[in-house]
Amino acid sequence: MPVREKLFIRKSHRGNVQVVAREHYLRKELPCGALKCASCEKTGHGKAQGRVSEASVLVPDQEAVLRQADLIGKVHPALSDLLFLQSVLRVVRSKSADVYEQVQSMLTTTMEGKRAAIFSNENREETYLHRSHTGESEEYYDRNLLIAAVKWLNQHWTSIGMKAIILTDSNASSYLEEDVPYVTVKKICEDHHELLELYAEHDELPEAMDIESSNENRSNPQKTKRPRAVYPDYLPERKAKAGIRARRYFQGTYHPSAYDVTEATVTVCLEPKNKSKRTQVLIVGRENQNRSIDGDVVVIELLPKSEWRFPSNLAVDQEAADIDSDSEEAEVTLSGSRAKSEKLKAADRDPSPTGRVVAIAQRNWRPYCATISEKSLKGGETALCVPIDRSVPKIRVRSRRISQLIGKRVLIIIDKWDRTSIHPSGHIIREIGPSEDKEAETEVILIENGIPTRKFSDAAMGCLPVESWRVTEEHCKTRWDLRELTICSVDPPGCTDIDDALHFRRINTDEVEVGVHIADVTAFVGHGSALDQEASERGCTVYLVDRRIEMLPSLLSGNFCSLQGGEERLAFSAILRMNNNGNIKRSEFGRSVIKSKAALTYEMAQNRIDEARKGESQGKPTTDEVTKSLMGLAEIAKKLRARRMAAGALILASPEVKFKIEEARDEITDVAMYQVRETNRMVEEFMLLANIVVAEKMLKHFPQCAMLRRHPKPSEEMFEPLIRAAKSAGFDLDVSNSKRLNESLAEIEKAAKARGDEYLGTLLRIVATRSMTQAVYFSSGEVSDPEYLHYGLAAPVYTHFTSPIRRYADVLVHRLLSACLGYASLPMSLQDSQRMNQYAEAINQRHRCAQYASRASTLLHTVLLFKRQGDKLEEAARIIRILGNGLVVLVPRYGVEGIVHIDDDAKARVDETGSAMTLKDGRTLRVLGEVKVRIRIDSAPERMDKVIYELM
Amino acid sequence: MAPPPKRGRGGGARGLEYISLDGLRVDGRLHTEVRKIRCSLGTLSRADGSAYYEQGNTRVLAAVYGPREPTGRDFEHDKAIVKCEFSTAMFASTARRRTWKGDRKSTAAAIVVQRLFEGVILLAEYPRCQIDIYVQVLQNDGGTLVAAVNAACLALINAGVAMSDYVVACSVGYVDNTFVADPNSLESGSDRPELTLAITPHSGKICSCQLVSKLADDASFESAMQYATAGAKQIFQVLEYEVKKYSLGLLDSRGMVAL
Repeated sequence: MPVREKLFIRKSHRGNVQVVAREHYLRKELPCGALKCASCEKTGHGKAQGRVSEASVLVPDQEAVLRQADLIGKVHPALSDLLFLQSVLRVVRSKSADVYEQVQSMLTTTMEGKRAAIFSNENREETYLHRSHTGESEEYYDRNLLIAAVKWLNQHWTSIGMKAIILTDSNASSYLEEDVPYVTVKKICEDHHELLELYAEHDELPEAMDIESSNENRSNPQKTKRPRAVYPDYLPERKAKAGIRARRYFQGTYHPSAYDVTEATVTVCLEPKNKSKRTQVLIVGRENQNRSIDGDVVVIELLPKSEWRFPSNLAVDQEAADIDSDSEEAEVTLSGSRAKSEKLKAADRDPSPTGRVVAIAQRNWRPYCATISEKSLKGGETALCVPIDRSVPKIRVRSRRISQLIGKRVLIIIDKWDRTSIHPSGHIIREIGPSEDKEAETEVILIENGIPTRKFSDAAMGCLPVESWRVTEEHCKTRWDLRELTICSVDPPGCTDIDDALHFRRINTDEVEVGVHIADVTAFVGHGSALDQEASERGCTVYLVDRRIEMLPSLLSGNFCSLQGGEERLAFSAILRMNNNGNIKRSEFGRSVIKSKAALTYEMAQNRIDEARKGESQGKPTTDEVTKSLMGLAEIAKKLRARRMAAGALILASPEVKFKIEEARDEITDVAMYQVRETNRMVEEFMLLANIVVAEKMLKHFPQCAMLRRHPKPSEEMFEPLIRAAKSAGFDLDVSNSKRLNESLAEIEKAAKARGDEYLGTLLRIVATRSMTQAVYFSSGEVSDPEYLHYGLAAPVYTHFTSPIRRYADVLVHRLLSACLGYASLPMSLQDSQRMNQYAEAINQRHRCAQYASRASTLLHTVLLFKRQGDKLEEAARIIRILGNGLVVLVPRYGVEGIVHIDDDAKARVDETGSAMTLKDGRTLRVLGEVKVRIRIDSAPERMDKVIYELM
Repeated sequence: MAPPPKRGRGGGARGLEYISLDGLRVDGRLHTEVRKIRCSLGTLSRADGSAYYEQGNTRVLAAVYGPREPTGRDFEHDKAIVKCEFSTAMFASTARRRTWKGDRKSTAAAIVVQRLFEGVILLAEYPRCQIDIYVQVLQNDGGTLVAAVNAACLALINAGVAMSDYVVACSVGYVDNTFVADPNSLESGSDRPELTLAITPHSGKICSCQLVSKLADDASFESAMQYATAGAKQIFQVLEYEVKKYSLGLLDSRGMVAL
């Protein structure tokens, strides 16, 4: 096997110049990718085993793959056979991981009507070119590699009658010169109009424009007028990087503000000495935002101090801020839209620094769900799309069938954003469905939140046990046999994925034994298996109003892992021996086989307890074993809860409501408050206890890589809005620690109830919950000990152990616990704290997305409910925040919140602290105060239906 | 609506793709293939035995002095002692090194080589003697210990030291969830497991087995051993061929065979 030496000259971090030598082996037997080729090896060595068979095969070049990935991936007769060159894929991978992944899946999966193969041209002896290191540019070398490969392929394939054609998306002059067959993507699109909407527009290379103009337009050069630039140009990368080093420019991620799209923030570190101190820089106005979209990593320059300002407290929609015109036609002033901004001046605060975007370090565009706006359609094939995500600007797209797509939800990718165009331009990937259709809207919610809706892969399904799987004697020998114990589960009604069950046994007069039995998911999901992979990508089960997207296939989640009543199941048990006050004397963990005696709902369990208590008070002893243990559990739970409260655990609240769904019509008829029973609290108490005990155990064995959950202690500043809100309602709140906070919240609730205000306490709790950060998973090695604290539960260490069917974190915890107990060795990737933290971060992300999705789904269904109830819906609402031009209100009955816009002519003024607003008609609105609002639905096809709240 | 997860189109993939979609490694080898080996015996004329050994871009020079009288104070009255010095040229890697011997890694490698050959050399044949092995790495592209063992084996043969068998080493790396025989410097990182195995090819005995970092379970250890043994056998063929060629050349120069 011949070997070539490749030499690179590289500059190291310190700026030293190094010479790197790498070997490069050339082979003769590598497959050329053709199915019928007799001289090459039949099967490849890697994952890509596809072969091409048509007479003409397209060989895309790097520009074609990078720009037109969606088009190339389309199943279409004109694009049926594709051969990817190794040299092209190398460049694609280095430029865009996302596109590379797309190509990878094309190469590794078999599709009807599409054949894709790989040809390792750089390692094949005949097609390898040596790169001379005398100033040959990389692009030139890559292009030569491609030409050499295609030339060789055409020669190699003559005997089998196949032809390789370069598929290009840039100027083809060099292919013309070299006399290799090529076709441009544009040509294919022109021949096949249905592909046109997938075609990604891009800037023509100046070279190509020259050629065209020299051929056609030389006689009248005035005709091609240059469009006006609307945005300032970006700095070249080199200059931007030098500027960052010199601390003239700063780099950070761009996020538009949630209420006002004309304002965005970039969090950067302004002081080099204090790396941990981050400052939020405001980017105000389109020109300063300079074509940035949410998530982009941008390079900013600070504006002079005279232009620093306060964050706006106005609510501005994309619609209000948008200028509805095409850049080519109208001249527009970009800063005009926000002339009347009102500043909330607080004397003790300095204005925030402002800046402008000078360059983009990295685009973070993703596929966006959007709707084609009817207004923008002026005949022709282009239209503007309105993304569902309010922080994304409208996108211009082109399609032949644009008129059919009006009012439909489509998935769009942004291709480019020129400085001459107000809006970015993109192309449609696919049609989702009509707007206002429940299915389509639900899919939009899932896509926008990045929740995978695909089915489980065949490989993952292959990891499942057979349908006839049963607990065998073998299981009972290697596990604790707890089938005789009186175990029962208590869950919400209709729950099919029962992952926890409890038992209670009195040992003697002083001691009791409580068992927490959790479904043993890891017995079915081996580490690193395809199923495990899939589950870890999903991260958790997502609950929407009318469906759930499961983390594990339903055979496991609804059957083998679910601890159903009367069925023998594998479990992971925590047996806790405690005294009558609930103090743990001894805890043991182990794998077990259990047989739940009853799967109860909260209501059923509560009824049993209530009846038994009534019976006992009348002198009738309880005979039923399940009821007896339920009573024992309830007794202990009360003590546990009291102790937890004394330690300073918080009672939090959320405005969520429960939908009453009419089964027959699949319609939501009404909403109701969640009812919290004693049994809910009882189960919660034991789950918390089990989680804490497991967390302690895990931390003892794996101090560096335990998967824990923490809830950071909120800072004083974070509570400021809460304290102000309480003050405006006439109460003082003590936030010095969680215990005091909980106590003072309880006092206020009591006092408010005495005043006849039933909801104030809950409302304050909602505001309190909002002012805290969310609890997150983390790896114990990445955070210092005191930060392990779970503030809300007042637990020094905490983890999630009890729901492995629907949370991936629990699966990892189960694996860690198994390793603690010596059942299995800990997989290598879990032994590394950083890797563990990556898992944690990914799970946190998925949890957030799941939460957002389920909220969006709730909102969608609430809107449907409002729609059915018609226009005349009037409800009491509570003010939770006062803005410069409106109020943020919460409607307790429906658990929804929104903005009430107050026009300039109705509004008088907002007081200094932002806690009260006086209207023209003399009414004063206070934070937490009650107002009556009229709710109506504003439906416009181009966006999600909007709930409009009006003050009465 | 909520901020979506980051799945941007911008940005290239990080790190290397160790195994391509076509199943090739970064340098074009398959996962079972070892690098190209070139070697020669008797390169240094003043040493009693010497060998130059090249495994891909890893280049090693080994010299053997002895069996000779002990230079130091310690010796054994009934057998020979083996001493080994392992050094790396300052110019061996891309980044210039400060030291060339005596650091922890060199010392560890020297001890491995010494222990290994103590087991293979027929020490009882040379009482009150000392055998010195000097190994210098001229260029490092991963697998220096493997190259050092193989080079030292050749040098010992060249010196005519009695050994029970050849000693051939081969390492196995673990990248992208697959084992790769004879990893180069790109494929062997400090964060990945690497198994270095030395065997006597005729008897198939294990002389030395080192594992850096951990492997997930016993099964993967078994398969790593298989990869290493198969790799060592590939290397052994080259070594044996080279030794035979060298011996034939010697015989020819003395007119004992007609080539």
